[in-house]
Amino acid sequence: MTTIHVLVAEDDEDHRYLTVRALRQVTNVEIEIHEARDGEETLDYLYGRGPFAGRQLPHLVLLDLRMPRANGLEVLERVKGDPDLSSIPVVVVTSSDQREDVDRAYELGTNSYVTKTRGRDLRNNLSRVAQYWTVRSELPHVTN
Amino acid sequence: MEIIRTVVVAAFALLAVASARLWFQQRSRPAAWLASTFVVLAVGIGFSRLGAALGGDVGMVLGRVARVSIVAFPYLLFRFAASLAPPRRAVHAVAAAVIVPVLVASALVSAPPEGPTPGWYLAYVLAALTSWTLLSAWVVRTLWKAGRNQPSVARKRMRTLATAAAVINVALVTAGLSATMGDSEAFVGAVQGVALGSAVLFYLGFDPPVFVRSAWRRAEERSLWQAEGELIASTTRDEVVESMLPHISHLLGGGPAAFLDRTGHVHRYGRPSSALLGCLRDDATRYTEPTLVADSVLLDLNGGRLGVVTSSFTPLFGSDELEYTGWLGVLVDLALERVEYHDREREARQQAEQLAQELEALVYGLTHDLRNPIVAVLGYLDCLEEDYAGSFDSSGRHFLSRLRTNAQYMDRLIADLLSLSRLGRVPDDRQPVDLMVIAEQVADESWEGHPRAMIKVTERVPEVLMSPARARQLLTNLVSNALLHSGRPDVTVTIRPAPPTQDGHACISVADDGCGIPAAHRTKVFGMFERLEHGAKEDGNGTGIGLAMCQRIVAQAGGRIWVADSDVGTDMRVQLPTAAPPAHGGTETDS
Repeated sequence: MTTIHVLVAEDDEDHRYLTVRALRQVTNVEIEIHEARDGEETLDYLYGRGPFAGRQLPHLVLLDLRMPRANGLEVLERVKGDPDLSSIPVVVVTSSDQREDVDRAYELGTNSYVTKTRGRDLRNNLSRVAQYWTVRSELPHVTN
Repeated sequence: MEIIRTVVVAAFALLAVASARLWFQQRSRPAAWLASTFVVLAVGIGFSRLGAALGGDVGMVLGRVARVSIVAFPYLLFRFAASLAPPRRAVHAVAAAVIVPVLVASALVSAPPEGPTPGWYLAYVLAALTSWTLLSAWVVRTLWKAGRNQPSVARKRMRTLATAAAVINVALVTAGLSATMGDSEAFVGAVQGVALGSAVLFYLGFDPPVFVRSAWRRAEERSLWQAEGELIASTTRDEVVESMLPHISHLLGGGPAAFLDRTGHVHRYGRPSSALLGCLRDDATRYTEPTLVADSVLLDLNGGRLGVVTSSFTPLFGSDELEYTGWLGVLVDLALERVEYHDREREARQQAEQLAQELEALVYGLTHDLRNPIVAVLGYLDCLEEDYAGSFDSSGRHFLSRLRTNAQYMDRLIADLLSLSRLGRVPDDRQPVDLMVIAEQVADESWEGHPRAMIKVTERVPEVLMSPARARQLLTNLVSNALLHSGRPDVTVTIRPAPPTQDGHACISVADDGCGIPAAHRTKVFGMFERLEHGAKEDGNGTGIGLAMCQRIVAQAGGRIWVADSDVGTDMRVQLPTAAPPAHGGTETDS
């Protein structure tokens, strides 16, 4: 079974826990989860800097929008603007359902935009996201 | 002939009175010389007639006085022109050298006896005529040239005076020559006519009638209309002042001008002298009308003080222009007031926009920070249910359920409050909107949460004028309200046209076959946080904000919303102005 590497970029430790928990509930695929606690750490991981030297590039990034040091939109712009990283699917997972956030995220190239409280069922919502992007869709091959 | 002579005498007497009145009004040196000139001429002409009539010794004395007066006239006219445009000292010396001997001779000489004219008399006459001609020529040239840079009325007045001076010189010279060579009645009559013509021209130069001034002022009036237009278009204090200064300067002779505004800033046109700038800052005296002070005109406006350097001709020839300056000053004040009002309005609008932006950022941040913990609470509740469901007894499970209900309600409340707050802060981009098209979209989206409900959208209504985003919010709230509060999961919601109660409006009905709203509560339902049922926090119930939001949206679009009478269920009516104008006027009728 192929191992799928997923980077969870989320500053809120509770949300990060819940997202990781939802990912671990996905069956039929082996997922290795990596966590970043703010925007700078997310970029350090993606570029293999500092403590993340030698990291495995993720097959999927779940990205929160409001993070300290560099917010999700800044990270999204950097990733989608870099030819070495732009093929990695990025799913914005956020509690914001504001029109301007949705529009801006798609302008910058997000592959999907998921509101955490949609349907008022966070667990199912995150599970559906995880299922779709790891089991049903075909993630690109990424090389370091 | 006698009649013509009498008319000439009367005309120059009137000129003398007019010039004397001018001096009484102005008390200036040019006015004094002008009055002297025409009083002396009138005396000369009058005494000449009187002396001829009386004869004898008295007549002789009067005749000498008359000769001296008439000979002095061109010199006095020279002094008048010199007071306006001072010549070099040498010119004064030459003029004096020319006139003094002739004056002395005029006082000593008596009329020659009958017979051939003696040579000495001819010499005297020639000297007098030469002095008249030289002095008059200088006056004509000076007045004509000096008018070149003056406003129209002043220029034409000065040139009229110059022409009059030339004409009267012709009359005097011709009269002098005819006296020595013998004259015919016809010739004398022609000379008198020319003199009378010069009197008319002098009077036109002194005090032209209103219709003549209007005709002369056409160019200035066009310029003043242009100035008015520039004033209306001005949007800042600087534009108002800097568009007016050139016009006012030109009106008063083209000299430098300056305006000291209330902030202490000096706006300049040309290079105003330090004397003028000093006058602007001297607040010991207030000038409520255009006032001549030294070589400047000063005028106090509400917005500041105006100062313009004038020419030496302005006091005598610029009365109209001073009046216009006062009138322009009123327009400047009005324009400055308007600009000040716009500045305040612009500042207030900028502050409001800044506040709105800050509020938007605050609400956005607050909403996100309020909702995040609720998301975490709901998520951990899911974890508790998944991992520890078997450990809870019925009370524990009930507590978990209530925790979830309250957290979800808080989440809905925050979302609705955010939507409500955005109503006042998003642009109201009104455009033609097809309500039924949006209703169909809303129906498709709403069905998912209510699989047993039926939502029907019937025929079209005329397009209404409102923001598409707000139309969507309105219909979403109305449909959601019908689905949530009908009291039955298999409710049928019908969206159809309804008869409008007002011309120029379109009306729709969002009706359900649910439990309905009692008549006593049909206006209360639009109040904030108003609910008509218990268990507001239960999932599937509203927060009490939805219909309040609908009312606000409809009111901002210029329409109204109400609960209509219905035998079954609830019938919400929404009436909004149509995008097309009404075909004819009408009055509002009650439904």
